[in-house]
Amino acid sequence: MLVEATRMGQILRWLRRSSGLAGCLALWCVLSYGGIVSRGFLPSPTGIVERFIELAENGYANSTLWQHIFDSVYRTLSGFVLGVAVGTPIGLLLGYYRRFDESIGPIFSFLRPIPPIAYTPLFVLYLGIGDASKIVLIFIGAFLYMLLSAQAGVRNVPEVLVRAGKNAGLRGAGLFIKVIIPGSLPGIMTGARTALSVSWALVVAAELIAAQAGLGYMVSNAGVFFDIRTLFVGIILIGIVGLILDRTILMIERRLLHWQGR
Amino acid sequence: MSAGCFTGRAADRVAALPTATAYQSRGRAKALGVPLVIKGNAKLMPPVIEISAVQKKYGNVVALANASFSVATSEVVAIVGPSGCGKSTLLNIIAGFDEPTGGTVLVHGSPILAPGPERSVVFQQPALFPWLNVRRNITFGFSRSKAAKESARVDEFIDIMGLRGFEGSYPYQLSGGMMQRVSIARALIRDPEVLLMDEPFGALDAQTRLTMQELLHDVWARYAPTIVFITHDVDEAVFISDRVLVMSARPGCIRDVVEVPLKRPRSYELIMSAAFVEIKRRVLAELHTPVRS
Repeated sequence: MLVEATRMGQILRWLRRSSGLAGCLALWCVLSYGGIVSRGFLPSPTGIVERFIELAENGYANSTLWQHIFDSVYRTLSGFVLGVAVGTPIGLLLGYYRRFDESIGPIFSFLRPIPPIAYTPLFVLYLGIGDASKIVLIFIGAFLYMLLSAQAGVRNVPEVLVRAGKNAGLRGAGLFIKVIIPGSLPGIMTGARTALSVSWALVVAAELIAAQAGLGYMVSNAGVFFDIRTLFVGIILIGIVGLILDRTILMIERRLLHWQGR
Repeated sequence: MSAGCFTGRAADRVAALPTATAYQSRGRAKALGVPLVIKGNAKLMPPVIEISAVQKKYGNVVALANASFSVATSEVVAIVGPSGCGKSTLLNIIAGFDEPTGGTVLVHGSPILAPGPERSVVFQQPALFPWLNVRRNITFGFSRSKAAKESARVDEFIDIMGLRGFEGSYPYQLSGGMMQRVSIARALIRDPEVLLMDEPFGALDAQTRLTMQELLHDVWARYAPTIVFITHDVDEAVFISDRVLVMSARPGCIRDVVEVPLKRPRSYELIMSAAFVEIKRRVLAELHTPVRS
């Protein structure tokens, strides 16, 4: 009886959660199959599925569809991982050693308000239209983000834990490793999650500007040729990959911060 | 400025006063199974903490004016007073988190240079590391080898503190009272010269508070630690201590010292007894005396 009730609840919840999406899809079907909006303006759902199958079979602009997806993900993750690896330790040190912050902090205060996308033409000039320019661009974006969140993470370590650490006889590097770093982890992980979504947005934007492969390139190129179905496939794929990236980092965060009890 | 405060001479009086109950047993000896009874003159036992004319100013604000007292081995000293009387400042100075702007604080004859495990603090908010489980919180600050070597004692404290079954739990899985029991275990396992308790039960509900006060008596009966206990609860101060220092605010200073010559072990029925009420009345009277200016 009780089991049935909870199962019923699960089904209802699942229905509620899918009702919004289903509504959008229904509206789309009405607009498209009902002939209210022209197919050249808004392709039909089946049209998009067909186009997706074509792309998956034949590829797009000299690359397979999977190659386009892989290129974008590869650039994002390379730049992101480098940015986290470099930005987090520097941010932690900036937060912990005030003198360090006083001497090099202003550099980052100057760089922070510049949207990384503004560097794109510069990096294309320096590094060409291949992977390197995108990876460096994403690195900069993720690096600045991680710097900020690691620094804030240090500041958010409760004073009483710092005192408890000192009371145990820790100071300097020992206090930093045993109290400050784990205490900053929640801030770091929140920052990393945002940095990853920023990175994904950056790669697409950079590929729109100059690239020979990648989902951003695919979308941009399809736009030039009025290939509206490919455009939609590209946009939906960008959304799906972004969602998978976010869920993945969320899963890592939950594992790493299991002690928060969420 | 320090009207109504104890001065140096009065402090001598405090130090010289033998207390009736503080030295009846030495915990370490008792833990070894050797009943050791030391009675009589406090001078036989050198004080663990000697505080003379300690003062703390923040700019022009005097947080603490001219505090002097000493704490003997295995003595439990409670410090009561309203918010802003400098009782936490005093504790932070002994812990080494704060430096006095005047006077001296000696622990076993040596000045305090930095915080350290020989003056273990139990904070009001449970200062447990949320990323460590109960066992690792208790051994925090120990090297891996020391933690392994002390594992029998860790188990002993886990049992005494009623934490059996929760060794692997994380702080978010514990109640407030349990968290404070972990904090106390962590402080005791370091074998401190003095246990500094800063309103440790202040955030707990009334019933848990009672249990914790009785637990503290059990702990004292076993290990006889020297304790400085900050609280604003007069019942708590009298119930747990051998001596109550009454502080007042603006400027923060020690107004009086009330002896608590009640026999140990104490149980909670004691708070209804005439002797207890009489001591409590004296503490309250001191707390309510307005500061002469």
